[in-house]
Amino acid sequence: MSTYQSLSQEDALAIAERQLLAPSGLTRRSLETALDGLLGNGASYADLYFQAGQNESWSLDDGRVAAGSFAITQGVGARAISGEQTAFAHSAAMMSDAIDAATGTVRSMLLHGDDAARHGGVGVPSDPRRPLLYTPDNPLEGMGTADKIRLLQEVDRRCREADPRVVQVSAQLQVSHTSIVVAGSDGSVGGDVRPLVQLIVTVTAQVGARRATGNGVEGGRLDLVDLLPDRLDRAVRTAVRIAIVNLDARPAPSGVMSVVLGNGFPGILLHEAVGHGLEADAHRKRTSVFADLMGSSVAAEGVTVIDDGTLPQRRGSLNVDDEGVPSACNLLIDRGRLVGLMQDRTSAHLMGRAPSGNGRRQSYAHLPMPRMTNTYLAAGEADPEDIVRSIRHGIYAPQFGGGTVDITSGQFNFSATEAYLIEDGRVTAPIQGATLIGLGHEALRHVSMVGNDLELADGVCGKDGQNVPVCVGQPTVRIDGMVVGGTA
Amino acid sequence: MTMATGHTGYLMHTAERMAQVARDAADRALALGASDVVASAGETAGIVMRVRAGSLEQAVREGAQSVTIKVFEGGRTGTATTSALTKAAVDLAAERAIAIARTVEPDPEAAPAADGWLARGAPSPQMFAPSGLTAQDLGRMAQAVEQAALSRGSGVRSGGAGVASTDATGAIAIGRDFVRSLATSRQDAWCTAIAERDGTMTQDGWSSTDRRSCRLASAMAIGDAAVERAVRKLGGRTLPTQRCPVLFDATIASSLVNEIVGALGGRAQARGTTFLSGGLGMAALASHVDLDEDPLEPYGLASGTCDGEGVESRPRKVIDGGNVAGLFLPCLYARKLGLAPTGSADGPRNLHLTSRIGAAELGALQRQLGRGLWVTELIGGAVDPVSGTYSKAAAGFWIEGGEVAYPVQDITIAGDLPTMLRGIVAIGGDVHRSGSTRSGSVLIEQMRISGR
Repeated sequence: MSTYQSLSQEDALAIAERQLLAPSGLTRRSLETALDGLLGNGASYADLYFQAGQNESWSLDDGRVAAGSFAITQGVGARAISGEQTAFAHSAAMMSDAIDAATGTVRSMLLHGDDAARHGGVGVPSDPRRPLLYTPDNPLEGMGTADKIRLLQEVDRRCREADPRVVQVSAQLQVSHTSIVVAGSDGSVGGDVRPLVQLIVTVTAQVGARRATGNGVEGGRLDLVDLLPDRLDRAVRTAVRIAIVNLDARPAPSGVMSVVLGNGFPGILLHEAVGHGLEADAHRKRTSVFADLMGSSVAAEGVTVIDDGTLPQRRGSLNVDDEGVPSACNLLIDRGRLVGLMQDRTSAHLMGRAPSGNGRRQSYAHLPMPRMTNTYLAAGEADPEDIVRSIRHGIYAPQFGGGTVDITSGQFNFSATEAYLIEDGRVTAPIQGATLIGLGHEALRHVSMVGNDLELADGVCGKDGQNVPVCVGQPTVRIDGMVVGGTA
Repeated sequence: MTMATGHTGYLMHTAERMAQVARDAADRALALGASDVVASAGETAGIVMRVRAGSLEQAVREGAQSVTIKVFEGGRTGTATTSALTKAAVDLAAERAIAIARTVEPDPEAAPAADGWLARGAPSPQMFAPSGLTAQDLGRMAQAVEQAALSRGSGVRSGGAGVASTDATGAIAIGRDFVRSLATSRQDAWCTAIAERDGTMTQDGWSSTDRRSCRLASAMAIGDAAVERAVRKLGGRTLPTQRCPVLFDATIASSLVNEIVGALGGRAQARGTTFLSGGLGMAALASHVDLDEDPLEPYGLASGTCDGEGVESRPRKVIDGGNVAGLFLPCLYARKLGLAPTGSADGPRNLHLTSRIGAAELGALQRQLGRGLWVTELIGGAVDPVSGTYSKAAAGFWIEGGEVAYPVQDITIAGDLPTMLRGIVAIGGDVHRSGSTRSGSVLIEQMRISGR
C-alpha cells in the first residue's frame, strides 16, 4: 500500500514544515532572523532543530493488553559553533519568544569567538528530488486501537501454540512518528518525516523447575500493517526457539576458539569492534584505536564494511540526517583496508572532509554527533553450512543480546543469547553464558570465511547517553582466535 | 546569561507550582470521567560545561518539563505524556489517557496505591541545594579539573572534563486529595584521561557527584584520580584461562548489588524470571552479608519518602544475614504477590552492602586474595536473569603474593550469580558510592577467567 516511492525529499520537507513551523506561526524568514541572532559573538555556524513527534506503546502481559501509553514530544534546539566550541540550548516551546530566549542563552555561553576558525561551515550536497526511503504517513493512525490489541493477542496465541513448554508471553508494540526541520546559517533547510515501528516478543519456557527466556524483535520505518504476517511470524519463531533451546543449555566453554557467527544481529560484532571506532569525532580527538590507521589494512581480505543510511524502510535509515545532510552509503572498510569515516558537520569541518550523513541526535534536547545508521559486513561467497563444517571444535552463535566497546583500547565484547557447540563440523549442544571478547583492530583480521547470506537486524545504539535506532548486519562468518568467556 | 540563584535555581517553576500543575492534571482527568488517576509533573533545568585541551568544547543549557497522566478504569490503564504544560496540551493528554484506558483489557491488580500505602505524613529529606553557578563559573570549574589532570605531566592527554549543575522538581497528584512535591539538585564533575606508551592508548576517568556543590571532590582529586587510573592500565595483558578468586573493586561492586536488586524486583518475582526465586526468607548471599536501604539520608542521591505511586519508603533491610528480607515492589506486583508495595516504583533508594565479619582495607583484601584477579572495570557482558549465569568482559590487575603484579585486559570473568553471592568471602571498608549504592570491595571465592 505504500506509495512513498513517488514522493521526494522536498515533499518530506514540505510536510515537516507544515507540521512544525506553521502551527507556531514560524516562517523561513523568522528562522533567518533567529539564526542571525545565533551567529553573534563569533560563531561560524549555527542551526535550529525543530522536532515534533508522537509515540505510542501497547503492552501485553499474561494474555492481556492491560496498559497503553501515548506521548507527545516537541521542542527546538539552538546551536552555535565556533571552531571546536559548541553552545547549545533547547526549549519545549516552539514560539518565537522561546526561541529568542534559547538563542540569547547560546550567544552568552560562547566564551570567546575564534575568528581563525571561520571557514563558513562545510559544503553540504542537497538532493531535493531524491525519492523518499520510507512512508511519511503516521503509523499511529495506520491501524485502529482494537487492531493493535488484536495484533498483540495474536502474538500471545501463536507463541503458546508454537510449543506447550511456553508458560509466559510478553509483547510490546512501539510506534512513533517524528517530524524534523533543521535550518542552518548557511541557508540550508532540511526536513524529514520518520515513522518507526517495533514489535518486541519475550517468551518464558519451563520444564520442571527449569526456566528460560527468549526474545524476538522486528520492525523498521514501516506502517503497522507491514508487520503482518511475515515479521510477526519471525519475531514469534525467534523468541520461542531461543527460550526452548535455552531450557537445555549447558555452561559455555572458556578459552580461545573458532567461532561461527550467524547472519543478522551478530553483526553487532562490527558495530562494536570497528563501527564506533570509525566515528569521526573519535579520530579528530585521537581517542580511537583506529586514529592513525586510515588507508592501512585492519581486517582480512574478505571483509568489506559499509554504513548505509539509504536502505528503504530500515530502522537506521534517514532521508536526511539530523543536521539536514542527505544520508549516504559510506564505504568504511574496503576488502580489509580502512577507507572511510562517519562524519557530522563539526568533525567534517574540523577535519576538512565532507559530511557523510551521519550527524544524528536522540532529540531536539541533545547535540548531534557522528553516529552509525545501518552498518553491515558485505556478503561473501561461502555456503553457511560449509562454514560450520570447516570447524572441528568451536561454537556457533546465531543470536546476541548486546555489546559494548572501549574505543581507545579497542576492547569489545558481545553476549550470545543463543549459541551451540560445534563438534567435528556439526552444530551440537546448546550453551549459555557465552560472552565473546576481542580487540577491534585485531578481531577482523581473523575473519577466515564470509557467507553469502547477508541479513540485517534491528538494534538500539547508545553513545554518550544518547540512543538512536540502527540496524546491524552481516552474513554468516567464521572468526578464529576469539576468547569465549564461559564457565566450563 | 541570567544568574541562577534563589528559590528555584535554574528552574522556571517552584515545586509548589508543579504540585498545582499535577493537581490540575489529575482534576482534569477526573472531570473528563476517569474513575481514578495518578498525575505527575516535573521540570529539570541546568547547565553542562565541557572542556577539552584547555578550551571550552560545549556549553549546554538544559530545560525540560513534562506532565504524565495515568488513568485507571476498572483495572485498565491508560497513560499519556506531554512535554508542553499548556492547558490545551494537558487536556489532550487527559483525553488520550482515558481513551486508552477505555480500550485495553482489565488486569484486576492494576490500580492506584491503596489509601493506607500513601506517604501522607512522612517528611521529605532535604534534597534541594541550587548551586547558583553561572555558565562561566561552571566553565572555569571544568577547566580547573582538566588542568589538574594535565599538570600531571608527559604521556597523558585529556579526554575532556566537565561540570554540570542541575535542579529538578517532581510532583505527584493521586485521586481527589493526595498531592506531594519535591525539589532536588545535583552537581557533577568529571574528567577523562588518555595515557599513551609504545603506541598503545588507555583511557579512564574519575567523577564526583553530590547534591551540594560544596561536597564535590576537589578539581585536583578528580584530575589526579583520572590520570592515575589511565596510567596504571598501560601495558595490560591477557591471562591464561583458569579458575581463581576474584576481588571486585569497590568502584564496581555496586554492579553486584544491581543484579540483586533486579532479581528481587516485582516483575521478576511475580513472573518467576529470577535467579532468586525463593522469595522472602531465601538464603541468597553468604550469611555474613547485609544490604540496607535508607530513603532518609539527607541529600542522598536516591533519598525520598514518596515514590511515583505515592507509596511511602521506609528504612529497611533488603538482605539480613544473607537472607532475603525485602523485595522491590511497585503496587501492581505487590498485589500480584499478595504483599505490600515498598516505595520502589522509581527504583531502589540508597543502598549499602556490608559484612558482619569486619571491613578490611583494600590492601588487606588483596593479601587475603593472595593469588587471583582484582577486577577494576566491567566493560560489558551479560547476566541471564533467570539462571543467573554470569559472563562479563573485565579488566583489572593480577595479584601475586598479595601484591599487584601487572595490569590485565582482554579477559572475561564468568560464574553463576547464586554461587558467587553465597561465595562472598569479605566486603571491604574501602566504601565507595556509585550512584546511590555504597559498597566496599567484594572478595568472591572463585570464578572462571577466560583469556588467551
